[in-house]
Amino acid sequence: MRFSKYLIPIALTIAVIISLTLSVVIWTNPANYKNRQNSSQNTQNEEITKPKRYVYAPTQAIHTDSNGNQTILVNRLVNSVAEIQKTMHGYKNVHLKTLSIKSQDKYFQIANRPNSIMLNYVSPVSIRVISDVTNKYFEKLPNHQVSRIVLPTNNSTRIYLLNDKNFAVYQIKVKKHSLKNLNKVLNMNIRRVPASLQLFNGQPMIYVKSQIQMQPYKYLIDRQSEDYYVSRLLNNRDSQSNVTVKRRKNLVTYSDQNTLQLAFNSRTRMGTFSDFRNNSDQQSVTSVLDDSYEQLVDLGLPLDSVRFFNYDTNSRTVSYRTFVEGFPIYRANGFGTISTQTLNANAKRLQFSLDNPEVPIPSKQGYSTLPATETAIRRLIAKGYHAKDIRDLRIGYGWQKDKSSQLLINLIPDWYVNYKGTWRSYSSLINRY
Amino acid sequence: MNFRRIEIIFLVTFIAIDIFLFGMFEQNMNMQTENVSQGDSDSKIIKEMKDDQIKVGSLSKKKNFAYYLSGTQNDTLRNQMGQLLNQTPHYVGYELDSEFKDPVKVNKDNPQQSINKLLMDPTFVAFGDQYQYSKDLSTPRSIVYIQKAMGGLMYSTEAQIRFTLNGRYQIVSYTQSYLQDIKSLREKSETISETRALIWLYQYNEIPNNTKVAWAKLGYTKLLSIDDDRVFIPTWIIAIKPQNSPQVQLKKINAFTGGIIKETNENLKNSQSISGVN
Repeated sequence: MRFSKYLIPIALTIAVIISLTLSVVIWTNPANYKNRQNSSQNTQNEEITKPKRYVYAPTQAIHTDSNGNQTILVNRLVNSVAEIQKTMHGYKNVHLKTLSIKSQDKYFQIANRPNSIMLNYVSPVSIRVISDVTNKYFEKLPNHQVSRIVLPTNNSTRIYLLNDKNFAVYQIKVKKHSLKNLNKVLNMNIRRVPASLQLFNGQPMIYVKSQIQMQPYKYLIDRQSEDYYVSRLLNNRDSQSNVTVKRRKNLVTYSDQNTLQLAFNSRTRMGTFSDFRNNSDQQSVTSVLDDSYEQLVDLGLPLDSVRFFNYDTNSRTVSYRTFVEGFPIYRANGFGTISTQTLNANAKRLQFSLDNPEVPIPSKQGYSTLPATETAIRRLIAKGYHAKDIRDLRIGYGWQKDKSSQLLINLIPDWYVNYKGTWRSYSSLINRY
Repeated sequence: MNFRRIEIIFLVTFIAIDIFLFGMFEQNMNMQTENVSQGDSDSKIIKEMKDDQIKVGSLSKKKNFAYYLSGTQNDTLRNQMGQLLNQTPHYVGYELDSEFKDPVKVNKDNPQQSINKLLMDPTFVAFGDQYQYSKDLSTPRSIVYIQKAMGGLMYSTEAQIRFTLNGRYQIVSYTQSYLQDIKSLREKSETISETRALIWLYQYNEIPNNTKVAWAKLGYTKLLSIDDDRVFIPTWIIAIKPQNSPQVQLKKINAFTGGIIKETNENLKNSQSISGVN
């Protein structure tokens, strides 16, 4: 009975405390009653556009074993670069030191380091761009230009960044971490092609050591409608002005009569977007690539297997290509998938392919055999081409329309030669008169 | 009025106030989750769906990895017919139809447990170990097993076994289709999450009001045929059921692009357009 004497005061005290607490909690909560104007456009963008760490990933992985033998890791069931990238997000305590510049010996000593994996870009990117691939700790490092990343498989405290242009070697110290996952990648279902990194015309290039068999592909293409691009590129927030259409033979041009123009060529199956608004006329690699990426987001072309290929500082053009098995696709005129170009402070041009490979189809065609790099170079020279005009030589896939359906394309493996600045297929060069 | 009565009055009042405040607190929390920032427009859309009386279960935001697959449809099953025992098989149009001479007894409540064991015997069903029980596609009298491949499941009438049961929990017959040499056409890539797939389906106006999402599974469905090869794409198969009817409708979303897969003529040579993003 004594208990019940205190029951009510206690209950009352508790009730009061609860109401005070709840009142405080409710009033201090910054309850935002305004709905954010999150346009569904944003959601769609998230799904269509791949993140920067996807688009600006290295395009090739080379493994150097304990004996110094090198192999290209060709994608079969997994994307080797993507799997390696997954192991690169945890770097901590990063510190950069320049080991050497302009020393070819020191450069090759690191590039061909036994027990390492080398990730390659076609043309140099900046360390800021690499931070998209690794993590934010790299953002604080000096923003040098880099074309290769070397990851030792037997020492977790060091990684190396190399620049082909000036043979710069940068060493990055990172906090010790487990290399188990990195080494696991080497045991995945990946095809290996014997290769070696050598000098050609004074620049490092990957040589394929013997002839190799490559599989041709058939792909079902994906096509967006013209309206899709018009609504994305021309109907932006500022211009509510009318969009006019001009049709001329193979060319349809949409224009906002002001600063924007979008042309579709049905013969070449290419779109060209010309932007005559003021732009910031970027020059540095980091800002050029950032700006280029924004243009990709605006364009909204599905970026499945599309990756940064190179930045040509002379023409100020950034090109992107679609990759199959880890090798880039080339159209007949050398074009890839998308290119963004800054002509001057008042003119930017975005070119893109209207047809893009989407679904692979089983190909009954047999393997093609490509010659070794040295053989290919030798035959080109014998045909009369000048060695010094060969700027680059890579394995790639040539785009070819399929006769049986306009929705099908064939991808034909071949060597691709950058001859005097234009990409041509080795077969077309050799078979010329 | 004594002190005690005042206390009681205060107690009742404060309890009432607490209930009111608690209600406000809950409402506040709901507002918060609605307005939570950074691309969570997904939850906004899910809420819209709920407002449309569409019932969804818990949805996963996990992204998976899958391949493009190809498989060949041929007469392999016919060549296996000779090894089957206790049944009279017929082979027609790439399908094996077989009746058991002696019906096979299975577990009353979990027939799949018995069938799983039986499938290990190649004289019972050819390639039995390549199939897996599908609860979603089965009914009490028709037990469905679907072919497994590359870590995933094939949702196709060309890769299934359907066991027919009688009233005494015995298998009387089955039909079987089989795809040979299922392999990947390309390295694995990321797929969209279950949540995303459902949102796409909703935005395509494919989920009417007052329906329930019965289940959603990630599997491979046929995209097209070229001669005797079949190309399969990873697909979110979403089962929709009107709230007052047991009739289930299956919808398919391309798990790579989010595009909706309609039942069209999938033969490549005839079709003018194949599903894409838009």
